[in-house]
Amino acid sequence: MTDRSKSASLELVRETDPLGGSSIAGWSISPEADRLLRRILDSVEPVDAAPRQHRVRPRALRVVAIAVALILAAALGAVAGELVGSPAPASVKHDLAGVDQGMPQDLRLNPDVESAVLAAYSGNARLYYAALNDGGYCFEIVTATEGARGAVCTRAADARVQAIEITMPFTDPVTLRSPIEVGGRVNVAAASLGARFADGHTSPIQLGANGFYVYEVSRAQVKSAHIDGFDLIAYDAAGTSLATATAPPTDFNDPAAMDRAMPIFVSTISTHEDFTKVLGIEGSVNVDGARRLELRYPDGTAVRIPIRSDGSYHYDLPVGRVDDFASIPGELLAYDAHGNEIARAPVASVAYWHAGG
Amino acid sequence: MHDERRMRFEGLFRSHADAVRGYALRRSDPHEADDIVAETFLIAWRRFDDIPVNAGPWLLGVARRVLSNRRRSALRIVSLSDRLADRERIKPSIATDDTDLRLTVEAALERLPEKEREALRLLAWEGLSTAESAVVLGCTRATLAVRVHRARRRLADVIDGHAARTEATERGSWGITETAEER
Repeated sequence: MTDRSKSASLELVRETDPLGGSSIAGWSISPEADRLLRRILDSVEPVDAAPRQHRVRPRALRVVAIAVALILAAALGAVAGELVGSPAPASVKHDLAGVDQGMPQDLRLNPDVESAVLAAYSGNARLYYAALNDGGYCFEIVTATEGARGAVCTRAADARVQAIEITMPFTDPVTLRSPIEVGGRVNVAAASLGARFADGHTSPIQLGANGFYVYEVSRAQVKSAHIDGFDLIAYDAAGTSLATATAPPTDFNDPAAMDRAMPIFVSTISTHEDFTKVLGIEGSVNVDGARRLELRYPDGTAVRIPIRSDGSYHYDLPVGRVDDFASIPGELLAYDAHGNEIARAPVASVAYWHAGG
Repeated sequence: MHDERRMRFEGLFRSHADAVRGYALRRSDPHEADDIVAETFLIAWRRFDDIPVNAGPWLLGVARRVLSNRRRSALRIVSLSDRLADRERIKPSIATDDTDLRLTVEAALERLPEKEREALRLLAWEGLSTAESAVVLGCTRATLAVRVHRARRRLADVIDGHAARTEATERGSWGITETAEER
């Protein structure tokens, strides 16, 4: 990295401004703006500001508050089993109600904040939830050290397509030692839930009310969880796995980490002059045990692509093949040493995906 | 009293509507931008007494949340094809001129974490100060500074890479991969 390029970066971002040099001034006094202004002013009177609570938080007070929270959390931990179903504190209700704050009626979720209760706990972490009218829910994780971590809402329709919902709140800056809490809801009829880490270590997770859970990753597993992520597995009463969801590795601002998490990462090489063409493909095969990689064209013919020692690959398509993926996807298939298929990924032109796949 | 409030709000609208509309236009299509402007100022009218003296960043923060909420509603159920489309990368085969550099920068911006990308755009596109950008993004100035630092560093790497590729192209090489392998 050079100083020149670093200082030039902001200027380059400026040059990507979609509005370019076109002026945006003057709209505010246009007839269209007038109509909008009248409509807003006639829609409803502003809400008078409620008396605000002053939230003075000097450092000393914060230290005391954290200490008190820790003591309370320790005390509460002993009787936590009795707390599931107890009302959420006012601060949590406030946060849950906040999901609709300032939103027009048609955008509101209207969680039943007054009925919000504690649904799950783990160590110093608590999860409170409030129901939505449609069968969905909003919840908030609260930890002793970080406090409330923000409300999350899921409509019923969305819950139905997530067997295990995972929310991982974090606070910048994240390091390998930053604690990890996950919470959410198991949306299948599970009897138990567990965490499985990359090294094979497993840990049971206590299911709370209505399928909610919250889980603090132990200190011993935090680093591994940041680097490799971990799985949550829901089991039935017989111990059979019903569903698995992955808590992804922490993205330390490294987009490549996401790429590496895919069994086969595919990047198509295109020219901006014609997005229907695929000039080549490159990426990496990340699934364990891959020995052979094969590109299968939409017409069924296949070509073998060498995998480099670091798992990466690069293949330039023959000139006569650059149009093959314009409207029909092909596939990349990875095989193990015995010829068994172990991963596959679609390959298609940018135009194909932009058309909605 | 109410007339006075309406006049004050109209003043606020006239002063900031262009900026809010510009913010929305840069991040959505014109039709959606108009909706975002309308929702933003509707919220502003309802919460008129909450608006700080320096209203611009506050309004952009509302616009950002309105936009985010609309996107979230639309994308709650993300189809496989959508995820794949996001994953596909547009990679110029050989970068040779300013247009290609712009495309390269745009592609690099898309790969940044959303908060870093937005921090850079607020500074570069909206011309906000660090403090104002922090208000829009609802974070501290220090956090914003870290995000901007990381984002600029990543972009600078892209620019350096572009310069290297351009140089290689001018020497008659075939492209990125081939050049790397030859070395």
